[in-house]
Amino acid sequence: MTISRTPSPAPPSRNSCESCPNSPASRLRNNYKRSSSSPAGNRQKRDLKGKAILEAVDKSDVVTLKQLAISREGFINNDLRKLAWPKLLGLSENDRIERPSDEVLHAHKDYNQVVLDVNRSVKRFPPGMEEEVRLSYQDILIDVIMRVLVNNEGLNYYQGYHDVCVTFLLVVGEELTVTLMDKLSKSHLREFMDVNMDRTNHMLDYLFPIIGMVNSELRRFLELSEVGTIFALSWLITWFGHVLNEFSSIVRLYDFFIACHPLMAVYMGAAVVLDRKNEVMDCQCEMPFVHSLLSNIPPEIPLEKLVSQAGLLYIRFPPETVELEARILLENRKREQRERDARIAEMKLKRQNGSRIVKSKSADFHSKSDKAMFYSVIKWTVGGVVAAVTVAAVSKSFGLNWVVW
Amino acid sequence: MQTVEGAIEASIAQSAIIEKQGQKRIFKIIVIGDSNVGKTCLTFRFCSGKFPDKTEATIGVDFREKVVKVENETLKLQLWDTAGQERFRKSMIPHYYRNVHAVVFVYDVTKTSSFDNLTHWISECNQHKLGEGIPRILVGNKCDDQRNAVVPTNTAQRFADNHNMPLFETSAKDDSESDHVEAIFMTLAHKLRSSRPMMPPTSNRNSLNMSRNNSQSDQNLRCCF
Repeated sequence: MTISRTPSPAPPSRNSCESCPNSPASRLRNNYKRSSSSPAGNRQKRDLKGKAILEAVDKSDVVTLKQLAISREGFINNDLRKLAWPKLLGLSENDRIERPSDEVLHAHKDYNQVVLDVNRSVKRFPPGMEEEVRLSYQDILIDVIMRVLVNNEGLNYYQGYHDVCVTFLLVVGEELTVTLMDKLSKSHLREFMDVNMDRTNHMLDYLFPIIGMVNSELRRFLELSEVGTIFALSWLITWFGHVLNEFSSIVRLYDFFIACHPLMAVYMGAAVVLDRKNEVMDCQCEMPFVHSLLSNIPPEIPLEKLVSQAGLLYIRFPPETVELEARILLENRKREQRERDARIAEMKLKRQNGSRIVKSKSADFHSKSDKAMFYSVIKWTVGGVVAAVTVAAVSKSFGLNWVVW
Repeated sequence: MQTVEGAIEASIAQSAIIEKQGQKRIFKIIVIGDSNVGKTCLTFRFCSGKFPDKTEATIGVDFREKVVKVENETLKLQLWDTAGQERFRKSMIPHYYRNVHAVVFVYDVTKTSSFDNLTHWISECNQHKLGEGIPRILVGNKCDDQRNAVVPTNTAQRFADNHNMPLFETSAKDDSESDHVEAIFMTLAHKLRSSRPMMPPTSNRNSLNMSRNNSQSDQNLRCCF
């Protein structure tokens, strides 16, 4: 079932309580109810699942919530998401992040970039939304992002972070978005918020090996085309929020990703590519053709099927079994970088007409980033404890029937 | 006079970088510059003839293409529209510098920093062996906003001259400038078609010749606009 993008919520107001009848969340809820008519059987299943979600929320039962988030249709609707997402992330109702002054928010190094990106985020809002309402949402969106960044000194804004924030903002409102994003930015999204994209790049190194474990011919084709993995970059760092048009699909995926390991978005990417293997293999084996095919996700993708396939890929090929191959790709990239650095050094040397070799700054930079990468690998390995919980949740949600691709 | 070896070398070089698809030659053009200078709008304007309704930040790299006719030859221009945020420039974009045939540097005439940062973009480009051997052009965008323009044309022209590139000032937004955007890319297409071989120089001598040829060709281009 696909539900069209949530209809226009009411103008958000700083002073309005989110539980009051005219609040954006409440309007959203009513709108959702109006749009979710479905066959009786499905409704019954949803009602049952809804009860299970509410029960798990009451008991703060994170393991059950994970199973419910992963299984078909996730948390079903945005009312339930508003209750379940904070619980899933272990947040309590008292968690609140104070808003610093405008001066502090505006003085942040990433403020200008955030404003530029949010101003251009019109596409992320429901098509029917009045301009005035959208503009207030955009103001709040800037605020939300800046509050999280100011609250976490070590975090850096990346283009795409605003796509994640807007999704939460439209579902849970301003205050809850700040606390949810604060938590997620230190967990699932942490790698993307480094000072550079090295660790993000390394997460993408898992993509082709996962694909290759299912279909080695497809992996070979992708590598031969030299398409790289940038087509999947926005999938990973925005959790598909930047590329999917259906808001209901985006929030459903957010249920899934919040409940899972940070690499699950890469497994989802692998499932998407594997699902389109025929189209890919039919296309000319050249970077532009493969890139433009893959970076445009068709609107009618079988979302639930792909979620379950991503989960099964994760169970079948957990990160620790893919790590070695990903590491090889990383080493290859580093070797290429070293060669490039050497070329640059040589060029500089030539220009200086035999003067002494200047130590390459990038060599220093890379030795530092190597260290960071090493810690990251260790972190993911140690993160196996978290991963094990996810595996248990995923296994329970899908059963252990491997999907035949 | 070109030696046989030289001719063979040039021919191999050319066939190595100019891919053929049927009879169509394909040229890869990378479009780079700071965030929000209008790279997406420029490429969109050229490829679809209109200003996009809702633009958003480019994440990673977007790809657009257009088939054009230059002196009875049909060419395919592939435009790689890149993200402007520095973190993408450093870690992600290098992959797309491979086998590029031309570079379009874009700045925003209403934003000095986007002009100042061109130095970084150029040095980044040079590091990827995209020096003077391949056609490069400089585009100052958002000229429709004359009241807020802060980068003087003569400053930009001097900068372009120093870096051996032609300068174009235009607006992707202004419908009346649509033909101009088209003309900019068509100029590049002409230049790509006529500059053979478009290989990085194999010796210093070639390099000198080539850069002289390029600057002559730049002069011609500038005269046209």
